[in-house]
Amino acid sequence: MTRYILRRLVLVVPTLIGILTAVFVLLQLIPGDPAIALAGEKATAQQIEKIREAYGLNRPMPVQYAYFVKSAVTLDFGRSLRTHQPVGKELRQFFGATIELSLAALIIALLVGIPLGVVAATRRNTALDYGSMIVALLGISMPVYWAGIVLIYLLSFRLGIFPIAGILDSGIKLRHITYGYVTDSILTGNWPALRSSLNHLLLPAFVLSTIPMAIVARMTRSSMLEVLGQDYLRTARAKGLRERLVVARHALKNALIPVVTVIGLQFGGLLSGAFLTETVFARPGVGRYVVTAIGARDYPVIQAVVLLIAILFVLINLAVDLIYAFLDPRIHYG
Amino acid sequence: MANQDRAQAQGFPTRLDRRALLKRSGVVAAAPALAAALPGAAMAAGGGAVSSRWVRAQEGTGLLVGISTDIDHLDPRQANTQEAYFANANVYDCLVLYELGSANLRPGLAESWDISEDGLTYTFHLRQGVTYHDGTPFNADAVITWYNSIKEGTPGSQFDATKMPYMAGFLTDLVSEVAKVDDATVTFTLPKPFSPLLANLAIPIFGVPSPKAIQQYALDLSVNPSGTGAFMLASPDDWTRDSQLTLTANPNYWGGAPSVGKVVFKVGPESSTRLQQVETGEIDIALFLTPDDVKKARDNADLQVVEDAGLNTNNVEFNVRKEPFTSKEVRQALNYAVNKEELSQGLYDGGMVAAGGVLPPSDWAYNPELKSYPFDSAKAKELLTTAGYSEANPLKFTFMVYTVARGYNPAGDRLGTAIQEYWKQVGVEAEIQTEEWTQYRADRRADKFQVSLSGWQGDNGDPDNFLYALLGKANWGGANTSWYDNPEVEALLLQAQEISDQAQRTELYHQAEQMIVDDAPWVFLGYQKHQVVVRTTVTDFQLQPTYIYYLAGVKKA
Repeated sequence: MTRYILRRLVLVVPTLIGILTAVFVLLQLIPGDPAIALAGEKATAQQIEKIREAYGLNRPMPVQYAYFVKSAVTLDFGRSLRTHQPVGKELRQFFGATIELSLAALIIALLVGIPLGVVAATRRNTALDYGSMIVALLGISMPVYWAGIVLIYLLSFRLGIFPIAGILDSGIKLRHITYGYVTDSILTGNWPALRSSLNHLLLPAFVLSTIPMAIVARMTRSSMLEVLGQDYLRTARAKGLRERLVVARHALKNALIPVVTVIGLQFGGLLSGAFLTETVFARPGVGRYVVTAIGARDYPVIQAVVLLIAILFVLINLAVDLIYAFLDPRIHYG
Repeated sequence: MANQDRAQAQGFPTRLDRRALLKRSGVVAAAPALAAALPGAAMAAGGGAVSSRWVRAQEGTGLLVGISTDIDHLDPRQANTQEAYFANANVYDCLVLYELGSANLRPGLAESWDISEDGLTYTFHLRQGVTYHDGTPFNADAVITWYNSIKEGTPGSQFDATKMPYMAGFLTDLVSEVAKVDDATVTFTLPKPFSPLLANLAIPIFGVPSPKAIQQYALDLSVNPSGTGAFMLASPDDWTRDSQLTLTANPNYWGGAPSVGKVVFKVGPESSTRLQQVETGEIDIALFLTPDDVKKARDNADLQVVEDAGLNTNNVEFNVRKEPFTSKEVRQALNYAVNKEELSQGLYDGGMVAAGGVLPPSDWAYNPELKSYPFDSAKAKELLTTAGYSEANPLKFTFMVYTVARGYNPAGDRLGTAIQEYWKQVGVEAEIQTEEWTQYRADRRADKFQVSLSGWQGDNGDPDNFLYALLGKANWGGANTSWYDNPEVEALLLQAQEISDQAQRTELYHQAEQMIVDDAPWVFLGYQKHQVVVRTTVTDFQLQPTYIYYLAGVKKA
């Protein structure tokens, strides 16, 4: 097992080199010169040339690539061209909030999606089944952006159940450790901040969860249906186990293997959905950070964020493979 | 005439006016049936939104300002967004400031100034007894330290190449030396007279930071701000990037302690979100709303739209060195073909003031007599015939259109389509092409365009910043991308740069603008109104033509 993990980790290196090269090439292909983007509408030609020099944008392509690889290896991307602050420091501030939002959405998706799928499978072709699947269909068909605007209008603007936007109430101070707002509130024992940050988190997390929730529900349903027809379940029932135990212990655990794969894949979707959610709900986060960076051709930031997300994906895939072994003892890595 | 007077003459209140509010209070928005049917919905009388516990949770937290993007720097030298200019204008003071509600100038950190007879020496008498937020006293040395930090190549320079266009063009290229006379006096020496210099000094990027902070933090001053302004950053915890910035009132402000104890800038990228926030009271002031959202705000008795004709211009640019736009008849014909009033109503919900020329009404050299080209298809066709075009031989060209929404054109590429249609009415075949915005700007400078959508946001309220910046020969390939050059106009504009008397300058600008309108290097379209939505609980909020707002005097009930 340890050897397997090590081998997988070594294989991450060529993957990342490929991603790095792709990012570099893509950035060169984006139309628009970062020097002009930085200089703004009012700069003269000499001023633009000066900026090009200051940021090494006039160096030959292979040299720029070498510098880029160096910054990736040392994980030091220097300073943002836009805010002139160290990229690492800024990224840390935004990453915590995005991860917290994505994890909260994932938890909601699982807590609602799996029971929905189980109910649909065990009550196959009943009103409950159809009802759950219609909910799932709705969830997957609603664009995050649209769902966000509608729910803000109804629940926040009209009914005042949630705040309209933001991440924390104006009057509340919070000392940051992880930059996850709920997490930091707990870590610093700041209860007013916990209340406020949870209130601000709930609606965006729900909106972001709708698509993975729907996918998880449908996947659980079809996987459960397959497992429920297996011989060993008939055996379980035959030996007199209560139906609830049959479903929960014998069927669900086996049915979850494909669901885990889907969750792994969905996490990527969550990160991209997080950007839209962050925009609608005016939450700070990596998504908005990188989009602003792309508009400003802020190369160091774009490169750092892409690398970070790539690493995250690779790690999630590894985690998914390892969870298989836990869920299904027949799977061995060696 | 002061900007405020001009704005009121046009029927725009520049300041919150109780009577105007009372007149409007009869207007009650009809709540959609859907929301009304929801159980437990406690509707407020005004806009239909609830005054929820979220709003009450924010009570006592100060003046809440909704902006659309992050404040990038709390260092005036590095600030690069409109939001940052606004925030910096309240944390730092410039030597010269704008009068409230206009682009006219008033004393700032300089209590008064003298300009030498030849226009080459500006002597600033500095305000005494002013202290920075970090306790450092303000004096001549502070001015010298600041100036050296932005003048490339001087000792102590922290010049950042990305700030070049602004710092150099607006100040350091115009000044040969800044010297201390005594603790309370500094002189700026110019190689040649340049009267817009004072207006330049009032741009918030020329706020003067604490010399101690400049030396201690260098470029990291942007997260460790220290100015002399009405508000200050009390603790680093008060600033969450891309989310909210809380500034605390400076009780020792030389202009008098601010009326509100705190100002909170809250970032909300969506215009619709900011509108809902200001309707419920989650924010008190909403900036940069779309024309459509401003229209909705007018129906809410809790809200007031504060507006004037903005300091900008929205235009189509002809490359006057390229065929067929070397022909004045062609350029004039394309002007006559466009119906500006219809564009204003149809495309911008009334948010655009039709252009009389280059300068907007919020500029002090605006000429109300100037009326560029009225909509007249017959005249357009006649001019095209004179120029040798007919149905058999129509005028054809490629029309470059950007696709992003700009401050001076929130409709983005729809403006291009509308103009194409007007031109089609007079038999002109314009083929639209688009490019990504950064590329668009680069290609326009590189002389690759024939006709293109263009526009400008004024920097300092000085007419030179429109007329010479956009149409002066020295700015060819910079901001002058119509490659316009009329020697007579050039002479007038250069002469106006050397005179400091405002009345004389106005006279010269009127002459020059008349000639420019006659030459028609642009289709003069209009000026996008400057609109801010403010809750009625907020009073004494004033628009500045340069899109910054001084908050020291703003009150909140």
